[in-house]
Amino acid sequence: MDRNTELSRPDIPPGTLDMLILKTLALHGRLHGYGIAQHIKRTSEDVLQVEEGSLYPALQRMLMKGWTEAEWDQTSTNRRARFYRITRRGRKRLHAEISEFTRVMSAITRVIQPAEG
Amino acid sequence: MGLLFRRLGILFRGGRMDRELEEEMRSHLETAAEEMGDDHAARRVFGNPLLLRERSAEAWGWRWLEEIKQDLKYARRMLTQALGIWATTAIFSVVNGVLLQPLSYPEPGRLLRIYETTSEMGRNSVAYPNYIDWRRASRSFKDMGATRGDEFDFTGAGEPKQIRGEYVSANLIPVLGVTSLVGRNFLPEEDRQGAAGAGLMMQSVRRLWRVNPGFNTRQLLTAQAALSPTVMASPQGIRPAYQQLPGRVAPIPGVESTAITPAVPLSERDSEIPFWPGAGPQPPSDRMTSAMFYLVTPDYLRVMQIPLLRGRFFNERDNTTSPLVVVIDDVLAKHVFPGQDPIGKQLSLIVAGPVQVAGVVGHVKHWGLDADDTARIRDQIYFPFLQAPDKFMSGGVAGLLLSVAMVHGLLRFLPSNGMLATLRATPDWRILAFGSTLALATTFLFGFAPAWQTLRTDLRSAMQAAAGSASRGSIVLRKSLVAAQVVFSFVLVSGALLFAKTLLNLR
Repeated sequence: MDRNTELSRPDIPPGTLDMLILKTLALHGRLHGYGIAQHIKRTSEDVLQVEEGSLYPALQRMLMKGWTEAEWDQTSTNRRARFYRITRRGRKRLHAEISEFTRVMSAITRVIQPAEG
Repeated sequence: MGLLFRRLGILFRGGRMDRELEEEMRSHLETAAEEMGDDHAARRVFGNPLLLRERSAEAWGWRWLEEIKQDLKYARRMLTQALGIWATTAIFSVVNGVLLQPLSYPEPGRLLRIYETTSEMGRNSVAYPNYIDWRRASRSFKDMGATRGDEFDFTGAGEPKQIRGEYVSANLIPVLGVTSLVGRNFLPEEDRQGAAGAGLMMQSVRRLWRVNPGFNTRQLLTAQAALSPTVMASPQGIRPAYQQLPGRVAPIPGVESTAITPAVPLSERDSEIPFWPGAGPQPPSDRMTSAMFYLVTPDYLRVMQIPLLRGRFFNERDNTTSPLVVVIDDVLAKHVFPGQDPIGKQLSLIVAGPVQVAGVVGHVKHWGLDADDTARIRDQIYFPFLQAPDKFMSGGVAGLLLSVAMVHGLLRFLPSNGMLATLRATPDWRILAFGSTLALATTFLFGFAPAWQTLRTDLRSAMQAAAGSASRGSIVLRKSLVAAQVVFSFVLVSGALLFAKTLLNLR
């Protein structure tokens, strides 16, 4: 990735990081922090990059709220890492966040479409 | 409810959570570095792990408690260290004065104390016949004196009391190189059983007991302070030095109050100043009279416990901008103002000019216990240091400065077997300087160094530099400093306790 791409990468929209992490865990079952960040980056085709400065506070926050649970295990490269898994409470939260996000995005889309037409 | 329990759980295993977070981030960094193939680039992207850990730990909800814990830990360490430095300095000041300073005899290096040692009794005092033999046969010593302590019944001055005294040979005082304060030493012909004159020293003690010197001789220490030639070169240098000196003596443990005078009582040192009553022009010299003249600081009266008979003594308001005042003794009051109230009356001093009498105090013996209190030449005038004209400052009066301190507390630890007679309680500026330097150095080392290290780490983080390794290094440094501080404080406190124990053992 060249420097221009890096500079032009948009921030993750506020309030959506939890949703992205929970969705990633819901899809993959369990992942460590690095794996979560990489998955979001790959899936968004390098548009979204989760900064570590946001990722780990978010993971700790979700652990505290009971949306995720964690356990220590070996990675495929035989390195010890903490793996996160979404809980039932986390799934409920994910659904609520997706619904809210969809509602807001629809509203935003309705607002901006006529202007473009 | 679940959140509350999880938070409570973290409260008791916060350390483990923190270690796990550290390990998790290290694992993240290593994985990223492996995939990127560039260790430095991975660290640059990751940022400052220490900062990240702190931000992540905020989610636990106990960050404020953690900060208070850290502050308390730091405060405890600093307090222990301060206590250690203070206690060591204080105790060492006394030990230095009592044990390490040379004896207050003219040639302490040539004095030796000799005991007899027996297998039954251990170290013991010398039998008098042995002393006679040793003295006669000795070639290594210039002379020998003998002394043995005993208890004596002291009568004739109020209630009978038991006091501690010494049987001494006639030559003991000359051997020590000192002279008696009052009267004379024993004569050689008095050094035999039944000789007239034995008990001369007891007579002196009795006289000391019975004669009121005019001030409280107990709990009083005098310390001589000589100003440097540079300071002495001008009155502008001398006056601030005088003003600062009591403030420097006051913090010494046990000191209740301090004062300065160029001539302590019974020192046979003072200055004479011509004066005349009233504010009129200077009369011919044969019509002027003189008095002993003492420059003193405001606390002098309290320190010496000299009775104030009328009016007031000096205070901080008696300075160079206020009208000149003096305090006179009751002998001068009777001589110059017979049958009158001297308060508010004027005197004129050579050099200083007209002054007003602010108070009358009791007479103090400066020229020995046998001095005639009623003699006119013994009239006494006190003048406040802060009002002293420059000429007084630069004159011979200021050549020798003596500060007087009233000391309690630590001196009670001292043995009561006469060692006080040899104590020099001169404030030891080297010890104070050592303590201050130590405090400053440790404050810098244990206080500023970690803060500086943290600032360095933040700055590098902000510049997206390779902060990972430095952060680990800073943690090691901080832990090392804390360990060193704890060890240092422990050694200081232990040293102070051992010093205190030594003093108690001396009793």
